[in-house]
Amino acid sequence: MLIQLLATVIGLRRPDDAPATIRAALAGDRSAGRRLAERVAPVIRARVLRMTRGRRGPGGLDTDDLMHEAWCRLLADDGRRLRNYDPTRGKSFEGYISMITGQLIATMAEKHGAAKRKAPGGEGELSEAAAVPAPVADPESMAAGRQLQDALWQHLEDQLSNRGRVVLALVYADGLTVDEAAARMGVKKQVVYNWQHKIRGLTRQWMAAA
Amino acid sequence: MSALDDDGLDALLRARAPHPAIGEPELDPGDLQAWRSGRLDAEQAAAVDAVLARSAADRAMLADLAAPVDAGLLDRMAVATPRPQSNRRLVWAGAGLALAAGLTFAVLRPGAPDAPAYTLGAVRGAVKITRSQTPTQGSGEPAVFVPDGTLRLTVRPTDAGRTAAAARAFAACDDGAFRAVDGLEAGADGAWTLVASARSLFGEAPGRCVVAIALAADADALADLDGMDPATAAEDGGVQLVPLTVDYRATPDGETP
Repeated sequence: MLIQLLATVIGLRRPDDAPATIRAALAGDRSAGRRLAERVAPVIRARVLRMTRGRRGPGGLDTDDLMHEAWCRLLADDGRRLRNYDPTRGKSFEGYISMITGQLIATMAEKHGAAKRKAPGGEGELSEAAAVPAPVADPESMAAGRQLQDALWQHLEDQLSNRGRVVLALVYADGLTVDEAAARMGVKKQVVYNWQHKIRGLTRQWMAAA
Repeated sequence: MSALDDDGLDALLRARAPHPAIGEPELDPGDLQAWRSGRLDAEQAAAVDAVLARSAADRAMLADLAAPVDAGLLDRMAVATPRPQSNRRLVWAGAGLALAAGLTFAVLRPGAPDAPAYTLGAVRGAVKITRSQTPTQGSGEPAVFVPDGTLRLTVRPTDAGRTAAAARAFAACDDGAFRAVDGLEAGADGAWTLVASARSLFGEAPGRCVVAIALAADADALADLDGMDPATAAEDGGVQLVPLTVDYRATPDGETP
């Protein structure tokens, strides 16, 4: 607790208002309820998408319906699951919501597991969806990718911190714009521009030495 | 090598970027969102950085987290939160807007028992379905029905332990008064389902209509809803109203037969 408080005071992490927002929302403060929904919705969606791989989930529910269902279950029993969140245990509120959502969706999938019929159009049950292998690049592109890992790229990875390598990957490997990369990282555009400037400088340095 | 401008360097870097096989994400989406929100400590954040730098699958998950959440869905989620325990008199101003947005809302009177909370579930029978079978949920677009269609609408309790003992279905078109309709049946786990032909609900004239299921802890609370104006209804009893906005057309394309 003391370490967490200290970390917050010296600015290493943002203070978490989740417990207060949860209490207010469950007491009927609609504004707090909205803030809470806005905070957890991206996490619930990402968790649902990861579990369903974009297919329909248990009971044929689509992503939005599953998100709403998970939310209602989080609110059930006077918000017991939300109230159980304890920031002193070290887990972020987002991490906690993701974990609980995963459990809730898995429970729903178990309940619907008896009906293992396969719907037309590839709309199978969640358990089937989970068994679908992740997309893998084709062998040709994999070989090409290995060839493209040349000395320049290695030089950049060696010189950059992990945060810089994230920007390198987002902007140059994934092809995002600075705006897109900043939005995905949750940082200001200037942060990405600064890293881009450093990456270009390192590249020029390497090219001059080559 | 010759000196390149920024655009030239960027093109070079993109051309030489490795594209390894995309595997399974290593990070939990919640931890990743906490990283995006600056809610991890330095050590935790550095660990996430390291994974993101090498894992395209985890970086792809960032896109899911950064994408805006549908405003209609957020409305539904906010509405599902508990109502205040005090000052239970609901201000009806804006009820018409709520109806148009397909939101659930409650009609409350001090002293009346709280209505159990319900939410719109599956909607079947629409001739035009947007992204899901629940057109007004998430997409914000009304369900399109034609006179020969059969509407099947289910509402479910948000808390399985608190269900409605009584329910009635109503329909209204073009800002008219609510009219009680038949075809509502209780289902499992506290759910209620309305099955009715669109013609019996909305008549023959095309327009913007609302079909709503009113739920209450006791039947008395539902007695006076018939004839209520959906937009400016008087306060009367502890009732949860779950409306569905419908674009009622003569034909699927909106043509006059």
